[in-house]
Amino acid sequence: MAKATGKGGAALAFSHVSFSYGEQRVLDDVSFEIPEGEYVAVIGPNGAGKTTLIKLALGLLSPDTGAIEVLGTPRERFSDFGAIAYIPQQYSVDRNFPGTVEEILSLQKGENPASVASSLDIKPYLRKKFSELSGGQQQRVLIALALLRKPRLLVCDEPEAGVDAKGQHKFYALLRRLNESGITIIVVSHDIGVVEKNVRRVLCINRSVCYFGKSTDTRTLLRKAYGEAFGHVHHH
Amino acid sequence: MSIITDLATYSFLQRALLGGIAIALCCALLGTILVLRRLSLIGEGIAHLAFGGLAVGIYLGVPPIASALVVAILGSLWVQRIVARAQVYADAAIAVIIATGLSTGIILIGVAKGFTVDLFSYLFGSILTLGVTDVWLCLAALALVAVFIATQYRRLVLITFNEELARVQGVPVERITAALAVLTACAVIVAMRAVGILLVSALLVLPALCALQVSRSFAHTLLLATCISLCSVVVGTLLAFSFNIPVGGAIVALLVLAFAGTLGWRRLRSTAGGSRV
Repeated sequence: MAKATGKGGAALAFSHVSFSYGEQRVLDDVSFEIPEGEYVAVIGPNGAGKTTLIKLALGLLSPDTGAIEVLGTPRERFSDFGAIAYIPQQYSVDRNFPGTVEEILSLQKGENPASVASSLDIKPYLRKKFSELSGGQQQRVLIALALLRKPRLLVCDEPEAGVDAKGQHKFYALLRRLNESGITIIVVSHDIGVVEKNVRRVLCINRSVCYFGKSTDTRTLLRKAYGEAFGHVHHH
Repeated sequence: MSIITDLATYSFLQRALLGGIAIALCCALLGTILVLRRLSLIGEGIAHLAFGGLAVGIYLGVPPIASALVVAILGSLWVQRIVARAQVYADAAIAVIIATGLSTGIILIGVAKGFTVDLFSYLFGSILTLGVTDVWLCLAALALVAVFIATQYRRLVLITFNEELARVQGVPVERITAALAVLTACAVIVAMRAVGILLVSALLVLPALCALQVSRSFAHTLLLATCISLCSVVVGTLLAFSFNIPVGGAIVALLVLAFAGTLGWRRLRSTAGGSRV
């Protein structure tokens, strides 16, 4: 089992998990454990099973076989929904959604929306429609929505999508601060360059193999998972 | 002035307006959620399925509205179930229930000649023929829809914003979608008395589409959609009564005009602002 040392129990643990879309096996007997307090990127090229892995962790899909534990509780019995926050890809949000930023933040009970909006610099466009914001602004709103839950585990799906380099830098700096405040962070990414620079550890996945290591060893892990050629590509 | 006198004089006109207001509110509230969830055509599908249900009821000698309601509810739940299981796309599932409803109705018309007049009255509808029971049914449907929207508002907005996000937060998406489908079936059944099976989906979709062109927020979209729907039903009914034209056609024609107007307004605003709105 791929495992990293950490300070607490497991934030996310997969034990011999397999999953197929119809006839197509996407994950095959995958096992790993991410300790609480980690800042991890799940990496691999398109089709490697990254998003499937995250959907299984979030309970959006059910495994064919194997067991998943989230924050120490079996996924099927997990009910502490406030402990997990999820930042979906911006592209998965309907572009015609008519709601304002204020309305979106009001969907979440918890932390004071005004203070979160202020800390993320989104106060000036609280009254604006979400669909009228830039990619970076939309991302900050999604982060604010996630933070209102005061989560223990934050999962982000491809946060680079639709955001410029400056926005990405700000985003990862914010994630680092959140991690330092004790939140476990799992980021799905296919951008090796961004991952190497920003996260602490990487989980490199290729259907049936899983390697866990320091982000500085990203290319070595990718070569182990995908072969020699892979360490030199996918640098965005 | 004569309209006011007519309203005071004719109880059928009072019933038409009261029932029409309830139908307008029901359809606008549900329609806004349906349009934003890309289920605009579900009203069309349920209405055609209701056609088959009406035919079965008339053929078997049971109250046609009851048989249509049962068939519509079962059909809407079936669509929701197979779409949730990703067995087929939503539009394809709706195409199947349209075909099922129409084919059932057509077969029964062919087998039992003689009830086509009854069935055709539902195809084109007439709000001016609403009875007291019909009005109570409209008000009951409105009460159900209003309670649903009021109690589930936050969850509905979240599901509309991002379904996966809602699931991660523990929102029972399947149950809420099933409730939405059942209420849509109820709304379609009461609305088909007003505008007819052929035009009922317009009453669900057009107010929301108009509102989305000019709204400033989600709540504003719901409010605008209900106002547009209300105005078109009330004005359409009174125009139809005054000029002796079919009510359903008048209401939907007004909604189409409103859509053209809001679309034009949005384009003007976008041109003036120099950006896409």
